Amino acid sequence: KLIAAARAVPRVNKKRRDRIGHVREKKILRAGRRATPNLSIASSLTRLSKNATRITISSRKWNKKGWMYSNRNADHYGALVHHLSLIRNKRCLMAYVHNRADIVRDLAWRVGLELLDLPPEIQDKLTTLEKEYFKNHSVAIKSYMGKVGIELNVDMVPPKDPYIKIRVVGEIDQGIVISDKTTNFTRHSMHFLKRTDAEPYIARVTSFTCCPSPKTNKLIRPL
Amino acid sequence: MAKYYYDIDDILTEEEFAPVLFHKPANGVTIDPSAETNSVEQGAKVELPFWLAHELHLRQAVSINLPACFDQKTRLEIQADAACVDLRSRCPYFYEFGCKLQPLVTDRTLGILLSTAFKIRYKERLTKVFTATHLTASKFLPFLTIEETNLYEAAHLSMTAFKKWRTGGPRFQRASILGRKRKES
Repeated sequence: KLIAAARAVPRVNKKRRDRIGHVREKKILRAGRRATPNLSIASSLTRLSKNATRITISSRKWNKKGWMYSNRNADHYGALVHHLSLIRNKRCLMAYVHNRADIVRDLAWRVGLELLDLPPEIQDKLTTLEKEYFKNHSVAIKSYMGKVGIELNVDMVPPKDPYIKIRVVGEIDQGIVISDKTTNFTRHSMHFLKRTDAEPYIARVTSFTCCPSPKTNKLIRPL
Repeated sequence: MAKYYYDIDDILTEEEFAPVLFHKPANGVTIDPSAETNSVEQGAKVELPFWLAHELHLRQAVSINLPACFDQKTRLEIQADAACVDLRSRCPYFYEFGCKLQPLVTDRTLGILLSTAFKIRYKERLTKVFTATHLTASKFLPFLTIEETNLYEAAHLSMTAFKKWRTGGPRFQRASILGRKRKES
C-alpha cells in the first residue's frame, strides 16, 4: 500500500499544473465572457472525484493503523497534501460548471426559450450537456408559465405603458406574425407594437457584424 | 458555507500565496522548489497557496507568516496616504485575504490595518464616483483591489441608473449576456 501511495504521488505534480490551468479559466469566466468549454473538464471532474476517494481511502487506511500523533510521519503529510490538492481541483471544477450553469439559466430567461434563438456564436460555446440543460430548463419554465397562465419572461423591467414605438434597424425574415396581425419588418420601418410582442426581438439584438447576413439579423431599436 | 464553495472570488482569494514554516516533514510532494528530493524538510520555509496553508495549519503541520503584501512597507504607505496606495499590484484580494489570515497569524494589528485602510479609501472612492469623469477615473482605477472595484462599479451603475431615470432614457436594452462581442481566437 505504501508503493501504491508512492505511485499515486507523481500525479500531484500533474494535478498542480492542471490546477493552475483551471484557475486561469476561472479568471476568464469571471470577466463574464463565455470561455470555450473544455469538454475534458466535465469528464475529468467525475474522474477526479472517483480518484480522490479511491486514493485517499487507500492511503488513509494505511495511516489509520496507528491513529496517534507519533505515527503521523512524513508520508502522512505527503498524502495529506495530495489529498488536499485533489479536493481543491474538484472545487475549482465544480465551481466552473456551476457558474456556467448559472449563465445558461440566465440565457433562458433573458434571451429566449428556444435553443435556436440563441446567436450561433453562443451556441458553439455550449457543450451538449449544457444544451440539454437549457432545453430542460426552458421546458420547465414553459410548463410553469402554462399552469400559471402568464408569460413570465416578457418583462424584465416593469413597464410604463403597454405600447411602444420601434424602428427596425436590421433585416428580419418576412411575414412575422404578431398576435393580431402580420407585419412586414422591412428595414428602417417604424411600428407601433405591443410591448409583449416586441420585447423578444429587442432582447435578441445581435451585435454589429462587418458583413451582416441577410437571413438572421434581428435588429430593432426602440424609440 | 455553501455559497462560498462555488464563489469564484473566494476561490481566487485562496489562491494567494502565504509564506509558511513547516513543522513536520512531508514526503513525496514537490512543493519546495529549493529541495533536491521531492519532499519537504522540517523547518523549511515555503510559499504555499492559502488553501493549502490553511488546511495544514489546522492539522498543526505548519505555521503561517505574514505575506509580503502586508509587510512594513505597505503599512507605512497606508499610514502616509491610504487613498493612493496601489493595492492591486500587491494583492488583488487585499481585504478578503487579510480577513482570512487574521485568525491564523499571530499579529494583532492586521485587522486594524485593514479596517483603517478600507475606511479611508472607501470615502475617497465614493466622492470620486460622483465627481470624476471617465478620463480621471481611469487613472486611479488600476489601484483598487477587486472588492473595491466591485463597490465602485455598483455605485457607478446606480448613479447612471438614477440619471437615466431622471431624464427618461430608453428602457429597453439588449440582453447583457449578448452584450460583449467576443474576439474570436
